[in-house]
Amino acid sequence: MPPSPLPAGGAARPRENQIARDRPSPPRPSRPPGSSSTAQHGHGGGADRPREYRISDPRRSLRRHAFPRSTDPSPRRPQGSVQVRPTLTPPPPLPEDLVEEVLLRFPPDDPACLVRAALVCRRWRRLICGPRFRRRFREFHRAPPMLGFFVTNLGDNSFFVRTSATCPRVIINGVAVGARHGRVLLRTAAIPWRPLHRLGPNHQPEEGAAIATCTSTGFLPSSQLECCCALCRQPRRRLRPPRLPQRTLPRRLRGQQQQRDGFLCLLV
Amino acid sequence: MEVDKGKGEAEETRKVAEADRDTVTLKSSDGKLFEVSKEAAARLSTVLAGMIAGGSIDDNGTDLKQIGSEALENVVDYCNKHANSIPSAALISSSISFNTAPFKEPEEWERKFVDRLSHDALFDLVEAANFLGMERLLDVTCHKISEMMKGKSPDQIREVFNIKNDYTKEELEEIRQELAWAFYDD
Repeated sequence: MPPSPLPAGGAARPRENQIARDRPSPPRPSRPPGSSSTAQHGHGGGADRPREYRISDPRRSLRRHAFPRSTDPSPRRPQGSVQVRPTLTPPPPLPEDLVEEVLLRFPPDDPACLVRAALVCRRWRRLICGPRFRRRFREFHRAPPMLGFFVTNLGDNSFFVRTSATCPRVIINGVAVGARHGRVLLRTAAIPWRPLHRLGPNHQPEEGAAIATCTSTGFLPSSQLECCCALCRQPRRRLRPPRLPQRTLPRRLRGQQQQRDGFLCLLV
Repeated sequence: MEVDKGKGEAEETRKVAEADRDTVTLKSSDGKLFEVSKEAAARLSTVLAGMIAGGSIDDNGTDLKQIGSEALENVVDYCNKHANSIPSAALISSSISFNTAPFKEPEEWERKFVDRLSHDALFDLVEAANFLGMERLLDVTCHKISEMMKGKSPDQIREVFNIKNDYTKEELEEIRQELAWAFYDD
């Protein structure tokens, strides 16, 4: 069979290109039947995989403080809506590129889903934490969801309001000064909230200005995610209070960002 | 007048017959033949569209050695159902043209279509859709699988998807403590 040309407009994704190009000798070998399939799974990583991320971190107690366990179980109960028909032989695992396709379709406003998927096996975690997946996840869902926002009253500490049920509770001790591109600038005497940050071991907070990044995929246990916390030495020059889309705010909070000393920061 | 009318009818039947012949025959890995309309195949599958445009379609059955008969039957079934679902046609063609088109929720009939599939059949269908470059079918099937994972703990996902746990207990416990908010099973 001659190799088949692709239509001009149709095959924009590299995946499709590859499928078409490799048709005479397809990229994936046919799967072995049922039982032997678990053996090929698991340690599938080769030399091209990103380096393994070491989980143990002396500062993890800080993080535990940052995400206290929720005492409100109601929104997080398992749905149980999908019944999977039991099969006699367990299904062979999906190939990696299809796992990626499935994970891409996780709801972006439910970051806990991706965290749990990352804990399924190392291969999945490498996939989810990789830059390629993060980029595709952003492209796939276009507009990032709003997981919550900071409210700052006059002179008080800011507090975080969740708008998504599975967003972690964020406890901050400071004033949210501004936010941009998913980063929140906090003004505080110390930096009590440092979610998954990777500062150097000798780092000492100065001036107490910290930027924390929280994206919808940003709470995964990996330094490769966009969840670094960095010092901002000239915060006021770099960050300004955000302009918020009025439509996304609850009615009672609309217009608050125009207040002189109180404004809201988006957490996206 | 009668003659003209007869002629018109004959013309119509001929057109219908031509339309009937306007199909492609696909052969599964185990040698079963399936027919699907050329128009639907070209519209829904980039790979089949390429083969039709390139003239590499075999009248006696185009070999698709990667796809079993059950999965191919579902693919053909999907194509036929899709052809009947007029409102979604425009949507599909646009989603093929722009690879970054936002994901559209599956329609009611698409949900029913994947809901009736067994676990194995669903997995086979995902692979077939990926192999044939059928964007929308891949969307629908992957969405279904991601729904199956939704609300499940890592242990449950491993069980359902037959995945070996290669974390150590200590690692898991550490991450669980770190990210306790993401787990509702403990």
